Amino acid sequence: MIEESLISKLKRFEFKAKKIVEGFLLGLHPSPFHGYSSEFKEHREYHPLDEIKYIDWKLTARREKIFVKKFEEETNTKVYILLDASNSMDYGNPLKKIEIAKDICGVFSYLSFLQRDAPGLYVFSDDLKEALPPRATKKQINIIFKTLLNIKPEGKTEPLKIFKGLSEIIKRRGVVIIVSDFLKRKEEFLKGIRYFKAKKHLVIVFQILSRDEIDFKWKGGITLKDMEYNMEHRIYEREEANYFKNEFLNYIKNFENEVLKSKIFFTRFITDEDIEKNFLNFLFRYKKHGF
Amino acid sequence: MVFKNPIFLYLIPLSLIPLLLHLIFIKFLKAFPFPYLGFLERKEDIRRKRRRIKEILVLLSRILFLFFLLLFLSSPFLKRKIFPDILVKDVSESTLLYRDLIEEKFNKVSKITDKVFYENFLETSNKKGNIFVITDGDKNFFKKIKESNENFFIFIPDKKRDDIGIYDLKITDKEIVVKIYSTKEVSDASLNMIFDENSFSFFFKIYEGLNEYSFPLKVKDFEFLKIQVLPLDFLPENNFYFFSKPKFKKLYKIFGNPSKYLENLLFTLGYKKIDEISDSVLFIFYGIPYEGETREILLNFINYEKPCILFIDREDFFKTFLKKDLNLKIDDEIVYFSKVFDIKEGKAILNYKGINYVSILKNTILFGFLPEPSYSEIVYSPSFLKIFKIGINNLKFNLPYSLNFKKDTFIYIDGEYRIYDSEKNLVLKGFNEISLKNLNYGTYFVKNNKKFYLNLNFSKDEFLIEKIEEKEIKDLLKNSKIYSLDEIEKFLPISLNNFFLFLSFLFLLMEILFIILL
Repeated sequence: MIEESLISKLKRFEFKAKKIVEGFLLGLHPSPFHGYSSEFKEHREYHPLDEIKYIDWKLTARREKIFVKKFEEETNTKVYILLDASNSMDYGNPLKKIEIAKDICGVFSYLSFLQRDAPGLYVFSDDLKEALPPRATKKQINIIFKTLLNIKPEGKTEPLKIFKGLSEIIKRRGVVIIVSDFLKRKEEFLKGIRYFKAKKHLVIVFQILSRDEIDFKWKGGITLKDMEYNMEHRIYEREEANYFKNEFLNYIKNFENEVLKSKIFFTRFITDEDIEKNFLNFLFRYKKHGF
Repeated sequence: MVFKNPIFLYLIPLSLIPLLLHLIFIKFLKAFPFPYLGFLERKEDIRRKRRRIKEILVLLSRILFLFFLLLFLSSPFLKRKIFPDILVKDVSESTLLYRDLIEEKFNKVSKITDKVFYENFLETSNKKGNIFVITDGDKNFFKKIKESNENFFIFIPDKKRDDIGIYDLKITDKEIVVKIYSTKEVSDASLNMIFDENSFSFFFKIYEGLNEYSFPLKVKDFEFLKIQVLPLDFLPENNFYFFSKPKFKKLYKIFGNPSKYLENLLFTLGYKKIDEISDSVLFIFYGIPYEGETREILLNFINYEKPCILFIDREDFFKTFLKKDLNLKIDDEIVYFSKVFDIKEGKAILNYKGINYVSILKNTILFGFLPEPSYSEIVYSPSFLKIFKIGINNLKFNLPYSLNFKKDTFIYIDGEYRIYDSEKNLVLKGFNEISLKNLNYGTYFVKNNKKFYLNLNFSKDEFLIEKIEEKEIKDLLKNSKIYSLDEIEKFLPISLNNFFLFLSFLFLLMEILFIILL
């Protein structure tokens, strides 16, 4: 039995996801991923919101009506949402990174559902914690939302093992959305991501970072403790704090560059920024540039 | 290794304070979680190693700095095979001559041991161990050592002087008169006077034989009245008032010295005015009359009232003058000086030999000697008569105010010289002649319960030097080892103080360099 508070949380969560998605749909075609499938199914009459590139000019010329091509999987793309729920996601200010990540996952799930795509959710840290294979049903959305609500970050991040395993499980091509802070040896993440890329999936990467991480500030002598690994780093002086900050920024910048080099769509969310605005920006940007 | 201040050794664990502070600092650093630190891993490894090395080096330098500083403060020494467990210093009067030398050696040895004793230790202590004794080789002192069974190491000066000495000393008005006898001429002698913290030196030449010098006295505790005794033919008319029987309302304590007496018949008497309380007067007269003779003596009180003439005859002198006219109290110890009289049954009999002068002040008797019997002096003291009858050997010498002569105090009596030896507090009898061996090279006087030292200094080469008779000493000290005082340095432990101080500052410097450079 679902508790009332959970239901209300769920509704709020759903509302948030809907709000973002509807805001996006108001001005754009509802399917940002549409057209990716290549197998032609049938023709249908042109709708003003259809993209011109899908018009079948030959048929239009013959029939004197505008027809567009309809593809086999257009409404049936599988969207694999991979959520990092390791300890490092339990960090952030004012919101924790995991909260932002959950929002992103919820939005994508809902958006996929609206487009008749099949969203699936995979939650991982050092192991696969949750696995909801893609389904294009309303029930699936509810399950995803509930799952997201109940997720608590724990464990270390082991992307290589998880991503490799998933890439072998997922047979059909689809969209792989990875939401994580990507704070682990970047080689492991990149290698893992490339497994999906190799299987011709569309890979979208969301990196969630906290403001505290980016703008690391000198607060006097401190000991930093790694949230996942048994590591400590002592900072005695401002100079060391600056060094630390620069190294961190270099690290995430390098990661971003590597991801972009692999032609993977990369977006970074910062915990103190407006998620709705950021998300819409992402969707418009995606719509514009696409892959 | 031995330590002079071993208490600092207990503080050595304190040198770990920097380590403790470091650990506390690390322990109480605020801890913050951070999602990921792995990005630092490779670069930081080098940095961390470097920082770690710096931390360790700085910490180690700090610890070693404190460690060696504490070691330095504990005054470490490397011990020799023979180590002075106990250091004994001979502080008898006879060491005055060697005072500088003995002090120098003593200070060196005393730096390495806090077990310093003075000669009375030998009579009272039963402590065991190597006992280093610094002495001038006085036989009497050695006898004390002989009685003990300790393992003694005796250090004595190589040579002993016995050819010069102060044999008399007087204070007059604002000056000190010193009599010195020397067997040869000395061109660069000096006299040091030490009054409290003040020290004065006078340089002068000493001739062979008797020397007499006056030095300004730079202390003004005494009020002096100068008295001149003039020859009768010296008297110019109308220049003096004459009193047949001067009446002294006040009593004076007078110190006298017949300096240059024979030459000009002038001499100066200094006296201390003690108002009405005084009970002592010293006079030194010229020309005490023979039996049945009357002598006039002119006393010129230069800075007090008016001059007067004393008319003295024998009987008057003893029976009337001193008792009545001078208003002396009969029971007081007053004044005596004479070698010209033997005093028998209250009568003074002329005797040209013997004591040059005797001064008796309150509780004080001073004897002086000059070989020439060509002048005479009289000292009168009712109490002295009594004392003298008891015999000089039984006299107690207590000299609270006056000059305190030591070995150079002689008396010639009953056909022999008697010498007061202050070290033994005895009057020694049976000397046919006075030898310079009995003289001190330095002396002191006591005033207001303070000692005023006077030491004669001469360059060593100018005098005959006589070897101390080692055989004689060895006979006394069969079980003891005797060394020259200079040899004491061979037994001194090697001080590591400077070495540890150097190390301490080296590590301080290294710490600073590590902080700056690394």
